[in-house]
Amino acid sequence: MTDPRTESHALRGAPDGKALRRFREIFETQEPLACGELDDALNPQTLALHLSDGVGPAETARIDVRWSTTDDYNVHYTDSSGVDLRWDRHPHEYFSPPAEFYFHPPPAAASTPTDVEPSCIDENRIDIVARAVHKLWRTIYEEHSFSDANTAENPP
Amino acid sequence: MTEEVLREAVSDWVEETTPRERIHSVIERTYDAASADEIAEQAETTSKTARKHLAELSREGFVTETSDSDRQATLYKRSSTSLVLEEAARINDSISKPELVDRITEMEAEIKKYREQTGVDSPEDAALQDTSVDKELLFEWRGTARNLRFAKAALAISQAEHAVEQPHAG
Repeated sequence: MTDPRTESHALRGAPDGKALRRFREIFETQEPLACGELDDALNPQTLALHLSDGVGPAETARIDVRWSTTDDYNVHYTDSSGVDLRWDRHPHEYFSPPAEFYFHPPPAAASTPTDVEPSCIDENRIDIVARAVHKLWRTIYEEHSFSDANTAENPP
Repeated sequence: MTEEVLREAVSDWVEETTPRERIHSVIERTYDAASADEIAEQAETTSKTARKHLAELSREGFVTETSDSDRQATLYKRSSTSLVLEEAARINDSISKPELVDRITEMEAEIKKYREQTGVDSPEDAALQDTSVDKELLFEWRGTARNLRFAKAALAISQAEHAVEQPHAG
């Protein structure tokens, strides 16, 4: 059994610049006040979406996106108050049952098996994920709270 | 158990686009061959509509068709030629030739460093040899290798275009 401390969070495939550009286009269209930037135009690994405001007291925030040719991804929110959270898709072998879509909750985007939750974005299509991330961002921003960052099904 | 947020995201996408645009979006990055049914499902449309647009995109050279005797279906994927040409054109539009030459040299140096660091020749070799090479590093390496190929294609095309444009001597 793999030791969680050595569990890789790496994505399969290769970084896909075309995908990062598509994510930027969709997010900037949905959120005109956001500004996306690739870390390198010729050999991009990460898209940084600079947000005009953070959740609650945070004055600035950013969503960092990594996306692979096999549609594995990390979508990581980080802000000036030191809060981190992440939705991702890649093999997480040490969780039982092993699954692919996980939410790493705030305040520190925890990765231990007891902290992570199944992601509400259990989807690998970029056109859908980019829109869903934007909706979740708007929700937590307007609520001034992270409690709905991984909105769970309401109990009956 | 579909989340509300995903349901809304899907219906927004469908509302904001035509079936052809969605099929184009899906097949643009379909690097492994898929059937029309699979593509239709990804594109939130019918198999019939998918087949029609995929045939058109195949005639245009955007898509490659292959047949799979096991599955007895036509399979479709993004044409590698089309992808390379598209990336090369984008690169040539965004960077000067001297800068491109410099970046190619830099990326080649990065790959040399990966080889020295890991003791293997390629990310594929690392997997075959079952070494304990950092997977994060392999992911970055695969990216650099892939983008280097696009960059080299861009340079070759740029040089060929220049040669073709030269007036004939005498």
